[in-house]
Amino acid sequence: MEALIQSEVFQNAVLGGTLTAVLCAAVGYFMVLRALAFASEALTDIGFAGATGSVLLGWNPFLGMLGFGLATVLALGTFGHRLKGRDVEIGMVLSLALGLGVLFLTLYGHSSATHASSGIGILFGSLLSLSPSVILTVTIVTVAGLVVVALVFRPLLYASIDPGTARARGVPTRLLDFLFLFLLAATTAVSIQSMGVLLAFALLSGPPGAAVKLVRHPGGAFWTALALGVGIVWVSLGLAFLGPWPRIPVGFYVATLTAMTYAGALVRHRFRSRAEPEDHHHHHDREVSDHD
Amino acid sequence: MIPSDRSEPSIQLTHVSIRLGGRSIQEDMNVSLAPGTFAALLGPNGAGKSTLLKLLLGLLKPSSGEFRVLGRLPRTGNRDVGYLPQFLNMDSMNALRARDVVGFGLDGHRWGFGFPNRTREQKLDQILDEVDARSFSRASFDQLSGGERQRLLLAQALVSDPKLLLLDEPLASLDIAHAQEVIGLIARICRTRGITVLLVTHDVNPLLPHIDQVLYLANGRSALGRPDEVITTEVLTQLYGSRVEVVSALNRRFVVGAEV
Amino acid sequence: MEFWHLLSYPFLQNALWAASAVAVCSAVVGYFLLGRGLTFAGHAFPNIGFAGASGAVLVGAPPVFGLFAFTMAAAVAFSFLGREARDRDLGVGVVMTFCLGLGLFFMTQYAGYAGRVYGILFGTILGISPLEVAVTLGTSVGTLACLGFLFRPLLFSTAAPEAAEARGVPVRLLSTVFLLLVAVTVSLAVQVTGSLLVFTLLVGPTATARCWLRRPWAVMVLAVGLGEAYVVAGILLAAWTGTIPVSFFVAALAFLVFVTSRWLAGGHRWKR
Repeated sequence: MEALIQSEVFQNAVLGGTLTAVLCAAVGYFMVLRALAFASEALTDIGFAGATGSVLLGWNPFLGMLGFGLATVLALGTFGHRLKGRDVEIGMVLSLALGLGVLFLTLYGHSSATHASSGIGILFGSLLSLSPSVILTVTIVTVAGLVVVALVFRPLLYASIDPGTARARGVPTRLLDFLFLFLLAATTAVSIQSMGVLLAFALLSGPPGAAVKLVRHPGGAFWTALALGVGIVWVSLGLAFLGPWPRIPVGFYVATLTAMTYAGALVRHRFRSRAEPEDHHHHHDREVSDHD
Repeated sequence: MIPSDRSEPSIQLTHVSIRLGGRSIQEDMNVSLAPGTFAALLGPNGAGKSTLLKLLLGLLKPSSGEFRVLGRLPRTGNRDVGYLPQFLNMDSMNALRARDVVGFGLDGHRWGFGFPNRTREQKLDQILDEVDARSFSRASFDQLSGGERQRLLLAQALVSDPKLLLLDEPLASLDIAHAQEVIGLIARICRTRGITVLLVTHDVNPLLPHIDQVLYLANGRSALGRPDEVITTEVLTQLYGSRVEVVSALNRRFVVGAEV
Repeated sequence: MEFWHLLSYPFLQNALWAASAVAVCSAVVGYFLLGRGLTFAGHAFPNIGFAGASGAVLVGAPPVFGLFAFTMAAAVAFSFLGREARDRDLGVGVVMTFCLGLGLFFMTQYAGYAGRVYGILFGTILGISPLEVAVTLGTSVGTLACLGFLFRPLLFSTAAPEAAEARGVPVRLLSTVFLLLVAVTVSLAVQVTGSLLVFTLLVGPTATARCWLRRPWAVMVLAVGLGEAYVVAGILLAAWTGTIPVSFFVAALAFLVFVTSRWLAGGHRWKR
């Protein structure tokens, strides 16, 4: 067991996993505030197309994902940075991305059998298969992303919670909208690298989603999200490496733990706020008006 | 307002208390609204206005007390009660024609597909004329202004010929001109049809020339009476339980010192 | 291979029959899905179904059983989520991811797995059996009958849920029943396009049709037509090229037509 912990695989997994968890929680926190869950799920599928496309062309999949994601964000910029509520458009882009991914995967898979199974690998990925070069890129992107988050934390928070007032106060909300989408695309690429396409959404949604329900104060919620994310990854790695069941993939633990965490937070929240003031939903959905 | 020969009040609450999720919203409400009354339901957020409407519609059950709507217990599916909702799913509404939106009030609750027939279209035309919406009845909802939309929602509530009309914040997002237009329409309908109208609003001022009664909810207490009786410093201070002042200026009343 | 020759092959005829039935159901369900803000759920269902199918294969049962079981359980779970879009989306996403994790777990427990997984992910329409076609047709007809019966109250409760409830419509029950119908439709559609792309068939045709038409039944009719066109073209093209799966063609077509429609007709307010 000592040997296991000393092994490079394990150390890479811990490093990669922790970095992923931190970045996902930090960016995911704002994703939750901005109600961009569907958009970020779409970005994982866009990443899928980017990854499979690059593999087909022989490029580095991480860079391919990153590039494709950023390009998509730029293209979507013409639609409106207002992605919230634009389910239909996001859905169609998601569909196209999946379609392309399926195409690339099929074309790639036909060239050989090993290619076919590595195609599936992109879908499911693994923390345990992070090579040093991948770790390097993940580290760079994570650090850069966290620096950006730290720099724009206050205005981004303001713009996310109350965009109208923020704009009136001079906060460049449009710029921040764009910037955030770039962050999200980069974070998605990192998460896909560690968790695979299908599970990339877990660390982006579960820990921040739970944190927001548990802690009211923004700063507190932010750090709670980080703690939950990192905690989940460590426990998952622990269970995968040292646990009694040898062949269960890390991704399964992560997905299950994030689901349990979010469910727990939901239940706790429901219990706590039984006394909801009558007009609580006032400002959310009342939209029979001219102005938008 | 046509004096009614029906002696029974449209809405009767006796010693009603309302609790929502462990909190007491209203205690010992005693309210009686005569048929044909045009009343405004006022009060700060959280005081229980929408909750009261939901109780009258049978969507919620009161904690204690006697509740009578048109002489009977409140229940859902009561054709005699018309409701103008506050919450709409705009995604879905925007794709519908004005006519179809009004049509919901007629047969939206019936099973099956609903094939068009002449009687139905005539009934719809009739009600659309009444709210002056015939000209845009075939437009889609998202093409209409706020005032036009409220008129359609009003038509939807009226098409079943109710005796009681419950309107949940119909004026909330309207500018003054549109609000006046809608209020005028409601007042006219109240008079010509002789129905009781209870209208939830935040700002009573546009309504002052038209309403007969005000039901003011605040701080777990309620007060019912004519506007000049209820919207006074004394009554509201007692309701709120803290210093509140009513200032009259330019034919308007402003409540100062409390969240309205 | 001669293009028109293809149509005489039974495997293709079976595929077309099943796919057509599924396209009709998907279009009708998709209308309400979009209207009720359940787009993310529409994406989640097939993924959850995938996990169920994987689990079924693991225990040696036909995948379609797992598909139905998981999607219907998810339908019930989703009906408990709140009304606010933000919370609902997160809840849906978390449930979906959990199920995908389960799917991953199932996969790793069985060695020679990739082949069957591929089938579920990408669709097996070109290998569908006559029995499966019959079941698909029958279930589609049943689903459409249910939707026809529920049409008015479903539309009403989608547009104005409180008003509908006041009028006596059983809004919560209706919501759950609708989600179950979505689950059934998705389970059928997975056979056509595979779980990765069911969503396109659910959302694409309706999204496009809404650019052009307003009245619900008209939108649905157009959506059905579009959906049919996509699957028929998709199947024929897939059979012709041999290697490229149906799902890609369906997705590409749906996207192209949608973008064109948006550009030509949608997104701007025109005068009455």
